[in-house]
Amino acid sequence: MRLANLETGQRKPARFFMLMASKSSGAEMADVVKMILYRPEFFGRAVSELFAEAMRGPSFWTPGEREYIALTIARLFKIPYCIDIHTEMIGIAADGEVDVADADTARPEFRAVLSFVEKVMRSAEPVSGDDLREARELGVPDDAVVEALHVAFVWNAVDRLAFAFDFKLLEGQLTKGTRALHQFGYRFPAFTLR
Amino acid sequence: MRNKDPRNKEESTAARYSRLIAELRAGVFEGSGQTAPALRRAAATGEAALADPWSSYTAKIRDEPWDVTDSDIEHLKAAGHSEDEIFEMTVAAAVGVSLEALDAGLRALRDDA
Repeated sequence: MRLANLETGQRKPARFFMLMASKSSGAEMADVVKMILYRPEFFGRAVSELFAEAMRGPSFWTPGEREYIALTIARLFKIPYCIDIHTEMIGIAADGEVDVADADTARPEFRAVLSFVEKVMRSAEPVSGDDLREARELGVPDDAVVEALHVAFVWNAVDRLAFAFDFKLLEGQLTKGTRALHQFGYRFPAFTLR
Repeated sequence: MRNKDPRNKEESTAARYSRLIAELRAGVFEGSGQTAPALRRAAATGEAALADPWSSYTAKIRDEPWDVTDSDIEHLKAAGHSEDEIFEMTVAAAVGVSLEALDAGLRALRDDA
């Protein structure tokens, strides 16, 4: 990572958690988690609440579909770090409802909202209610669109930070780290965020 | 496919997310830090006058984050900026531009066209 503070500048409780987690998994804590645990009152605490809510909270979309939105954002940015993590996560969280190699196998409601979200992400093209016509005809509730937009929001911000701080995947992090993130529903122990 | 969740039963989806986004905004754009909140808000939009090297660096985070290199960070440090300042301004720019996209999407949802 480009900032040494993000590597080792966390407070004692967070450092203790990072040490214990890496001892039990055999892999160093992922860069994205190190960033969340650094000065959490500035960004990490609020964004981790959003992560947990958007990725695993109550939703019209399955966890696998939400991971597919995250993968789509990573693909738009062409960022290997995030593409690899979300591809792995889909393998863990999805139950056949999405296919990383073929978006067309997903349910039509999902495809309609995904293409809306993609258009929102390409900020050069303004979006309007017209872009939601198909989703609405399919009966997708407004809340489901709100949920998808917030999944896109967190990864839009975090993928940019992954570029800026130069996140890297180390040996063992992809499988073990991703599984742990899924197992705990994108939540970190409260003491690490103080 | 909506999961049953006992938390915040009365809070609507829109209200729940708007509360979480407000908490994020408070930390990043109003919270205490090494940089002034006004500077962070300028990094978020690029609209207010921001001096270089912050101006070009935060524009890169907003417009082409894939182009950030080690030398961008070295340049900021050489200009006397600490790692905490760089952390704050980077987060502010990334969150700011992502909020613009979110707001555009939410506006389209309110659009009855």
